[in-house]
Amino acid sequence: MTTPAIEVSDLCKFYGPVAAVDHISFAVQPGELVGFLGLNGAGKTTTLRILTTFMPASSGTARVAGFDVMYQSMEVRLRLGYLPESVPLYGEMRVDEYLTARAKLKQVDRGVRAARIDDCLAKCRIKEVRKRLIGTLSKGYRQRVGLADALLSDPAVMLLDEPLSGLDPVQQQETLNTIKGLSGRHTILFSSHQLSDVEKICDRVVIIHRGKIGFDNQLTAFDAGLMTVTIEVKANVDDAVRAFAGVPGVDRAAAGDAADGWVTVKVESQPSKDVREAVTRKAFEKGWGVRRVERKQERLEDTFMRVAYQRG
Amino acid sequence: MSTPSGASAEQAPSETRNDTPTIIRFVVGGLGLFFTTLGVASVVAAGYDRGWFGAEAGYLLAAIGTTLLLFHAFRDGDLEIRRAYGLGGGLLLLLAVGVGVYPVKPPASDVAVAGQLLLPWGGLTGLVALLFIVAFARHETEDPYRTWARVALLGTGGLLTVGSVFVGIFFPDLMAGPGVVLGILGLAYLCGYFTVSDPSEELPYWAGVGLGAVGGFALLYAIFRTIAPEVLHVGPAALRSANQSLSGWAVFGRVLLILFGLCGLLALWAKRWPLLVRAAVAGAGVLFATVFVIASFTTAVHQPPEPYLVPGGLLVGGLGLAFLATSVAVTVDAPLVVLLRRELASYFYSPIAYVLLFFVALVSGVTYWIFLGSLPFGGGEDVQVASVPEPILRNHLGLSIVAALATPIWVAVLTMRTFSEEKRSGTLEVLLTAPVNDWAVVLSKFAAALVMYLLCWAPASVYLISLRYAGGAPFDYRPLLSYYLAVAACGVSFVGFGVFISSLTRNQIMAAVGTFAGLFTMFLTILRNSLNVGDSWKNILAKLDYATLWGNALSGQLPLSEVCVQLSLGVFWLFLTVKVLEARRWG
Repeated sequence: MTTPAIEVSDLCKFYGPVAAVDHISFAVQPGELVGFLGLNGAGKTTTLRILTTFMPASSGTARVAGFDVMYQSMEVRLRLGYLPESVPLYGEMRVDEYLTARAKLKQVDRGVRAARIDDCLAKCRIKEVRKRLIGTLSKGYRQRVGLADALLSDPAVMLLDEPLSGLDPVQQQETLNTIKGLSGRHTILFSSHQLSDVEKICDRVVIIHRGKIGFDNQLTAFDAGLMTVTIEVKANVDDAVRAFAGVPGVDRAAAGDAADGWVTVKVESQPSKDVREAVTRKAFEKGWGVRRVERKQERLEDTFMRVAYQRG
Repeated sequence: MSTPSGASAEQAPSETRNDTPTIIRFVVGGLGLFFTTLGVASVVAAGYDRGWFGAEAGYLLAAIGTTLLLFHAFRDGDLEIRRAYGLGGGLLLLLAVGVGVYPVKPPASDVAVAGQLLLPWGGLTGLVALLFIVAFARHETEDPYRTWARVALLGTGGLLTVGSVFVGIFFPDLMAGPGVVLGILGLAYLCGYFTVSDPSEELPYWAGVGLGAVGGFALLYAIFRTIAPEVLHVGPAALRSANQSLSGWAVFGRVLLILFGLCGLLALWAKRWPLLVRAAVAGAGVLFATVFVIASFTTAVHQPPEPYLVPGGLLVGGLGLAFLATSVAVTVDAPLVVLLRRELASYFYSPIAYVLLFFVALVSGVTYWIFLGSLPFGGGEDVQVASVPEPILRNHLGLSIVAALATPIWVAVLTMRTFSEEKRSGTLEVLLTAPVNDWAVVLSKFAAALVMYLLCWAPASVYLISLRYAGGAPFDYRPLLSYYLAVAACGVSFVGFGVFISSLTRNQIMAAVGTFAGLFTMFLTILRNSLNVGDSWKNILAKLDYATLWGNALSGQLPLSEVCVQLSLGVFWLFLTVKVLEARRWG
């Protein structure tokens, strides 16, 4: 078993009475590209900041590349590339000046430094602005200068805090391709609230909500997830739920909205089984009118919404 | 959205065009050429008593013209233009060498001696040549020319730096004057070379290392040349008290000095240092210890040695230190050095440094004119010799109670943005997640602000040179040493305080006001006698009274206890600053 690139266990962070991160645990294996999702204020940035050693956790431990973020802070920082959300940069410096200084700070060896900087400029497509003052760059360029900075030391682990915010659609696509190209070689944890972006490139998703992990699984797991049939019948709520739950192959039935004597029932089954026909036949047997039958497999967006709306 | 595979679909958002520098070329360049020609012509004509404007106006015109030409040279990268300026720079360099070595009769002698014109003409021409060559080397893209420019810069710089140290060793009397000019010019050429080449390549890197070696050698030489003859001359007598018995304290001190020298050997175990540095430190330490061991048993030097420290030793040592510092800045990639360079540069990227230096120059200029006006001038018709009332420094710089009053303002301006700006813009997060420890961050900001603080004292010293010429007679300059030591020690405490206050807030204005308030309160301790407090309180306040400390230092007294109080205050503030940074980790 290899050491996980990122290992968070039972991590808590309180800002006074506010529990920003509340007993979360997850692990990321080397080379994985993980999307870190959550609403604004869910605790994404706080978790990332703890991982970068910028802030301490209130309790629990976090390890990056096997090193504890609290007690082996320097070791962690040497192996980390971090792009903060607001991409703070020194506006009065030129791009290549800034990257050179950062490369020295990150102990990139003198012999390979120039080549390394060139490589990062090329990967982030900012060669044409290398002589410009950072203060005069557009948001998209600044974002990519930050990304180049995070890449400089060829870090084992990269933490990207909303790397796509503020970019135009073309830049988003290009940056996504860049990030996708980096995975495998680097372990990447990138936070976002753009579900479609995460779906496009990530292997795995962790959803955090109100400081707790609401969901953590491979994206491929959605293909194996439960199938839901939504049927709207004219019937008594309890009768409908009881009748549909008894259909062979159905795992669970739950009542949805009810209005004007119509009731929506959500019927869940294993993905290999299509229970639409059986459920509809049951409704006919009971003599209930049917006005909608829909089959849907849960996707990332549904999961996200389910997690986001759950209470507690 | 379709993205062609492989190639980037993205282009730079705006087209970039080569701007045609029409205005700069014809207005600035043309005017510059015109003024320079006119100025030089009138200076030459004035030499044959045919002047149109006279020599002084000619100099002024030539200076303005040259400045305009330099501006043009740095802005206009056109092929013909840059090559023309490059050629001009090369010719000027040859001219400078010619002027430097051309033999001229000194005023009081019949024998022509080389080097008489070095100061100021050779040095000045060399400096202008340097600027033109750097401008050329920055624009030039084609290889043989580019390499020539670099070789010229590196070769000239190397020869001059080594040469100045050579002068310092074999002709110490020439050090004050030509030696220093050569050294500074050589350093300027090497700095020019470093700005046009990438220090991560091999040749510039080793040039930097070489500069460091020359600097380190000069520094060690100055120290040994000052200490060794004196110590070896006094010999074992230094260990005996008045009645010829061995003095316990003197022996104890001697043993400590020898042990201190032997501590240099510890450098051999400092694995992270380059071999050259380890060997140099260890060798110097052993040599130091050997000198004191020999002196403890025998008197090796029988002639009383000539004093070397002032001015030769100080100048050689100072040049060595400057070479060493430049070398470290270029070749060392330690976080402290990298951050210090960035911090210092950021002062000059913003208008702060310029506004502040202008302001300081103005203040010291005004105090200088007030002082000069108060001098009773006498003497002949063309040589004005002021009857200089000693202690002249005390009287002139005594006016710098203005400086003592203004210091809290400068320090507040210099330190307000150190941490608060980084906190406000969020760059502190980027900085502190790099593999850099908190002490390096704090020390780099502190050291950069301290360097700027010390630079603020430079204009006043320039006026002192002017005072020497206006007065027409030398004055007692030695109190300057104690004065600048006191000023520097207070700087450590003031800048440390400013950096600490800045680390507490993300608002620069708050930081500036807080620093000013604190330091001004410190200044007010000068009024402690009108306070209705006990004597012990007054004693404490007296230790903080820097205005009086500076006054005493100007009379040549340096109360060590006050200096130590200021230094330790500085260390205390830095310690607190580091703790403030760490506090974010306390949760």
